Amino acid sequence: MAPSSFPASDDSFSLRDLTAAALAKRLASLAEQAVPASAAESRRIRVDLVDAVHCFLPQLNGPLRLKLIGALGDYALAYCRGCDILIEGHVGNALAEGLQGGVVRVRGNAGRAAGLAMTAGTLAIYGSAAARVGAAMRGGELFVRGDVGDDAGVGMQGGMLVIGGNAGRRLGETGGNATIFLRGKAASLADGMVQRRLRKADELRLGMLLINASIRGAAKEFQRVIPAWMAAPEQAQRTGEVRPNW
Amino acid sequence: MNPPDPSDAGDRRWQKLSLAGEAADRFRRPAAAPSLQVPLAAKVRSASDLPVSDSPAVTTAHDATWGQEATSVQEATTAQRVTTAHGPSTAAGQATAADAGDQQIPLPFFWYDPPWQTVLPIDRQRLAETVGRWGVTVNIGSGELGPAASGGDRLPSLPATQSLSVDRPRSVLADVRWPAMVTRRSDRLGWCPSDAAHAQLVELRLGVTVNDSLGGGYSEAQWRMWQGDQRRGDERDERPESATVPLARPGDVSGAVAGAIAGAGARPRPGPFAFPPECERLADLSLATEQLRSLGAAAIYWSCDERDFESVLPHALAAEADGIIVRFGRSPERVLERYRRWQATVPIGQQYPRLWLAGRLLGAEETVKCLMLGASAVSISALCDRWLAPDRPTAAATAVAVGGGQPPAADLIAVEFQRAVEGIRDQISGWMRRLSVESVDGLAAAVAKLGPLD
Repeated sequence: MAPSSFPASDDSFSLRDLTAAALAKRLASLAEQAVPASAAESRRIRVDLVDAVHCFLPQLNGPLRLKLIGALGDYALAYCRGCDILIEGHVGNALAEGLQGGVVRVRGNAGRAAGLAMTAGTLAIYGSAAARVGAAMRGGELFVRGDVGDDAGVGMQGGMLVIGGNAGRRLGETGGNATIFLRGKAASLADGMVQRRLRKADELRLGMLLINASIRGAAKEFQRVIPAWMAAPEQAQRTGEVRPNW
Repeated sequence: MNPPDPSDAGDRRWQKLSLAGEAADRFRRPAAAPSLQVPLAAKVRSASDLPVSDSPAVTTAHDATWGQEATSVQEATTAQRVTTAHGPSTAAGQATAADAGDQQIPLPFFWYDPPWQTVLPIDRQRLAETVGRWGVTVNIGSGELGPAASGGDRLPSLPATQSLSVDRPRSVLADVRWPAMVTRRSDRLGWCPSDAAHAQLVELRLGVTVNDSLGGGYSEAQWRMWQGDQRRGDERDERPESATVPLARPGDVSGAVAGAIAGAGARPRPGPFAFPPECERLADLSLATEQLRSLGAAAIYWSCDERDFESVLPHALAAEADGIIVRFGRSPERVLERYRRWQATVPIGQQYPRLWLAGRLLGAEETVKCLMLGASAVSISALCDRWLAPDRPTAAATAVAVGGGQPPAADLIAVEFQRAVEGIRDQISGWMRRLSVESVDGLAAAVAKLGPLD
């Protein structure tokens, strides 16, 4: 799953030769033909990008392994599922909006609202991300190795946001069952949010996920960003306290 | 579907003021039933829409007030000015795009933002179908109809295992045969991307719709409806239905609004976004429009509140949106006035967005007036929402009965709905015959020649 392990391509396309719409049709056709036995057996495709194309490959669905070489514009890879995609370049706003499954990895920086309203799957950004990363997330895992901008995780309802660097202002204006892990420092937290050390269970969970997402560092370097109302009962249940039922 | 009786007082006033000789004979001649279909694509401004600046009617056309008691006089007066300035036949001046391949809706009415969460999914489907079969565009999508009814690809609320399936997602709207409008909210709640391929219209909602009890927030029932109620038992929050979610930053259009915690132990919900989080300014919305176009062939309409209308309009034009739905406050008068004034500045040959009005229920005369002043459709939500009232358990059954052609005496609301829709429809048809126009856009084109309201 590491970025360097992307195998040799079965097919190769270039946007110099065909339009984004034509490429989408070709890929859909390839996905239809593919027999989804496992991710390792899925078709490997290399695409050379020319310009930062907007709205690139929406609703891509199928057992495809794509390597995109070049920069992407806004709204790239929206509502994809089941694909394993590696992007070698920077991407614009709203990358992988509504991601429904599969893996999207970016070896570069991402614009505003990466992983917007994603519901499942994994989005890993090995550079930095601009403001509102993970906005309105409902599920899945979003990793950013570098820094993130303001309002990270705003409106999150579920899923996990892992920030390897520092965060901007108003981090974690979330609700529901969202989880945010932060390694660096936040310029400010959103109202009602507090920073707490990881529990043992979180360390174990996060450690596995970091390995899976090819992000270096130990889980214990991270801290949780959680609502204050959730932190209070946790504080009361700390290990070492005498409980009445003992 | 009968036009108004030509012997009524309003018609006598009309003839006395404006018609004489041959022109009057033309109006008495039975005409073919005019079409009430409205194209969804953007309008194109044509040279024949230009106002006649030297017409005396232009200088006095806008002195009438917006009021129930003045409507008949105003309409007759407006119509007279049209006929005196340009003759009775104004069909040639219609401002439609006139593309034969464009989608159309059967009637210029739509049911906007219904409170679907108040009824069961099966009732939502029946009611939407009943109203839709009457020709009314219904605001509903897979998010509201639910997976049980649709088997569609509504975005799941829980993380799922990575799917390698190549099964194509299927929208619940794929099988409907009535005009449907789906809403893409900034937080994407209830949004199903494959709906865009089957709906006639996609609404890109800006701002937050405010309801009486919840301010700008969503109710727990709405959350359950959009999330499919698929959460695990330990994830259910206990917030009461009546809990309010106040706007923390009412003027903020750049970020989310924090939800309030209803009580001890309750989990807060994030508030709705007032503006798409991936955009920084209105100019960025052109790419959002482009993205929606890439998902299907539906017409793209932006929606906004009345106070934002003027700032949004030029950006909608630049983004080549097909239309704008404006949520007006007390009266649509100011919206129409601004729209007409702005419309006059659009260069000849350029496409510009249509105007749909959403708000309180407009009477028949007000509706006709709105269409004459440039609106392409008006909402009849207040009429239809009564079917979703929680104290009406038999509403769905009644709706089905009415849709099936059975006597509507079983429910007064059904009768009222039928009467109101037919009444407005007949009024529009009557005025179209009087003005010898063949389409709803023809009404607006005839009055547009009078120029901007000053």
